[in-house]
Amino acid sequence: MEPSRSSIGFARRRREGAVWSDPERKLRTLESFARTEADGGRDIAAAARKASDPELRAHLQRHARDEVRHAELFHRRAQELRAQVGVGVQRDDELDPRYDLSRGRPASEVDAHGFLKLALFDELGEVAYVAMLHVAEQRAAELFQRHSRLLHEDPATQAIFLEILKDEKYHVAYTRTTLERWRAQGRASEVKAALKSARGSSFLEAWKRLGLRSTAGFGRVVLCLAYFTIAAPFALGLRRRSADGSWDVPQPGTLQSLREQG
Amino acid sequence: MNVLGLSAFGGASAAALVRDGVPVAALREERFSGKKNDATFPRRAARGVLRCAGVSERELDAVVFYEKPLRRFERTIVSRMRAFPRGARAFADDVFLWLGDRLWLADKISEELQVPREKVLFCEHHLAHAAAAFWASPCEQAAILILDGEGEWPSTSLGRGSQQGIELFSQLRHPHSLSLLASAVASYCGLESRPGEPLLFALATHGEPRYLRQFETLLGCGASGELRFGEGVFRLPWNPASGFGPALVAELGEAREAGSRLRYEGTQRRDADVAASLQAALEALVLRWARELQARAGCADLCLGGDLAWNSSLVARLGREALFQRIFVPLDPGDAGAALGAALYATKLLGGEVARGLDHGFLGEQLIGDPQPSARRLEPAAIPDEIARRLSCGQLVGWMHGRAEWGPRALGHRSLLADARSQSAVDRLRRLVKRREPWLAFSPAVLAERAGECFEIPTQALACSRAMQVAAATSAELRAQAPSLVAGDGTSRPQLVSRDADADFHAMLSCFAARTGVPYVLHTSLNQRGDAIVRGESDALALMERTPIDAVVVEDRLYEARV
Repeated sequence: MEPSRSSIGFARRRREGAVWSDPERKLRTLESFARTEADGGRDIAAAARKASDPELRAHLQRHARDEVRHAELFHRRAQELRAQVGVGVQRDDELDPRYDLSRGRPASEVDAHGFLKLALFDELGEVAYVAMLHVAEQRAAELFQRHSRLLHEDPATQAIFLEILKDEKYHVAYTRTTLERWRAQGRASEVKAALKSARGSSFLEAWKRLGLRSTAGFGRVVLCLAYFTIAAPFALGLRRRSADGSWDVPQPGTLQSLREQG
Repeated sequence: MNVLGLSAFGGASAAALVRDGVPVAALREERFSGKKNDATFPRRAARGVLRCAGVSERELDAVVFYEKPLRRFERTIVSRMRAFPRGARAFADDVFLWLGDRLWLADKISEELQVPREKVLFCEHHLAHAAAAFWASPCEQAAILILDGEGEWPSTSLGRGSQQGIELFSQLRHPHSLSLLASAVASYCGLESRPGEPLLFALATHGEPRYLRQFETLLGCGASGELRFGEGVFRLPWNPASGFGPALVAELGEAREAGSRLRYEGTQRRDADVAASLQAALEALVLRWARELQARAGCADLCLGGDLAWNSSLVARLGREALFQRIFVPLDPGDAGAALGAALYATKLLGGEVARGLDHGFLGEQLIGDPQPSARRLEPAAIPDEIARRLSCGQLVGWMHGRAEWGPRALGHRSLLADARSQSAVDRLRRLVKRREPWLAFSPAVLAERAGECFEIPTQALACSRAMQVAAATSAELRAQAPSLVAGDGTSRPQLVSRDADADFHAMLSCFAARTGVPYVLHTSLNQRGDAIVRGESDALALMERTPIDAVVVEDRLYEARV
């Protein structure tokens, strides 16, 4: 068990080290973290509004503000690096998962930490939500700890991770305290089930993401091959006929044409 | 007849409901997700408009998507193949994306909205834009000019609207598109390619068109106004993230590196000059098309639609040239607005009557009230003066009431206001709330009856000033008193507020004028940079908590920031 775990850790360190040592990938990763934190801030702010427990609501409000501040820290650092690296920014829908250490998520329905975020608080209730936050924040703290160690050659970025780590510790602590409080109030089995489900769903989502990314990668390779084989003759034909810039006369719209997709 | 229009996967996604030919509700998905220009399928917006209108899915006669997905797919694939062999990666990404769900859009819509498959219709993209532009205007007949970026094949359309419907008679095709060129130049100037276009046109006001000749070469405009972009103007077919190609660099020199200092002031104005040159080239070409259109359509009025209709300097130029007696731009001329256009167009083709003109732009949700204990009740009659008093003391005040605006801009119902003469208020707003570039001007809201004291709006484009869609020359007094409202070329984009259009906002401006003698305030959307306009009361309060906004008035409730 131990060797395989350490070899996974080694591979992960290599991959993450490669990202942080490449200026362009570093920039993309920071931008991606900024978006992730901003998303998290919005989600948690929405949950805070729905929380019935005043103590939890106050924690969630602070948590949401922290996430927004983290997003700003990452964003500002990314802007500083952009000046040094000299690359443009990408739109949200063009984020490249290769640059994305924080999520690698395939769909907008999945939140920063890999959980499905669609009305989660409403559907599952506050215990499940806080359990999920707890598990996610523990993982985020581990992730940021790892990244901060890899950034010794970039003290400015490292300082951001270290500052955020302090907040992550608070997030882990208040979610733990809240769960313990509920446990003491006779909701131990509910808390236990929620934590189990959060850990399980996080694992399941990670597994699904891996599957999706593998399929997507494989699919893209096949499509690239098709581009160079099946599509190539047509492509060469189209290249010879450059796009015409003259005026066309369009077909008038009809009720029948309204029913057609093409 | 209830027809639901949808737009998605292009610019911002939206849903709009037209009942018996009258728009009754329209919402952008971004208001629900909080992400500005959210382009995902408008699931929540669609449910939201049905809820607003009190219509169930079963009562829908048709659901219309704002473009023909198969034609767009064809255009995408052909563009990637034309870029052979460099288009391989973009080809794989696109085909993968389209095979995922976009090719099966009819089924997706049917499933998401629980409507029978045969009720799902598809409107051509430019017809949707044209319908949005024409039927939102009060014109009985008008020439229609659509200047758009990416949709199906067409990029520019000339046409005419009348009682009988909409007829498009000429089109230019992708990639010969001024909007795409603007994207490429935004990218060349180190701005984000598509969201950077408005910034680029604002930047243009600080420059001189020193590169006009180079742009004329790049456009390669022929005798009949056709475009002949040379090879290499764009890299979009194989690298969507970096829109400009080697031809731009060959003509204009090295591109600005993103993040480096933007050159727009003093002796270093190169980036502003590039933007100004594009603006000048674009205006010259659009004027040429407008003349051609005027001759063919034979109409006194012009309706403008598509992404480039956001360009307020272009609208002002069209007005000043007086080719048309009146110019109209819909409240949302972009892709989100085309959702409403698609619904209007389908209503007409399905045999319904379509009402002309949009009385007001408040087609969004009613305010989601979630009153907090910290609220202080105000007498309804005292609200305008209370806001005016706070503004005159240099406070930043948010104001939310009634239904939300249709479109991306606040028009008085989800607004953030400041006294434009207060340097400290403007600084706080610019740096800490909007994080806006120093060269980007804010817009004023002004009493319509006193607008002439401060602004010189081309008469032909007066209708566009209800939603800050036309650039107007400013008086010397305004430039001295409120420089934050003035763009580099001395123009501003005012919103004229009349009593008929919005009695509450007009009353507040009147109170402010009575207190200060000034008939205008700085007016912007109630949001932070990068976020959509706030949706509910608690969103506004959360915004106040994390920014230096001093007070928020929600209906008759006043919230003050904790000191």
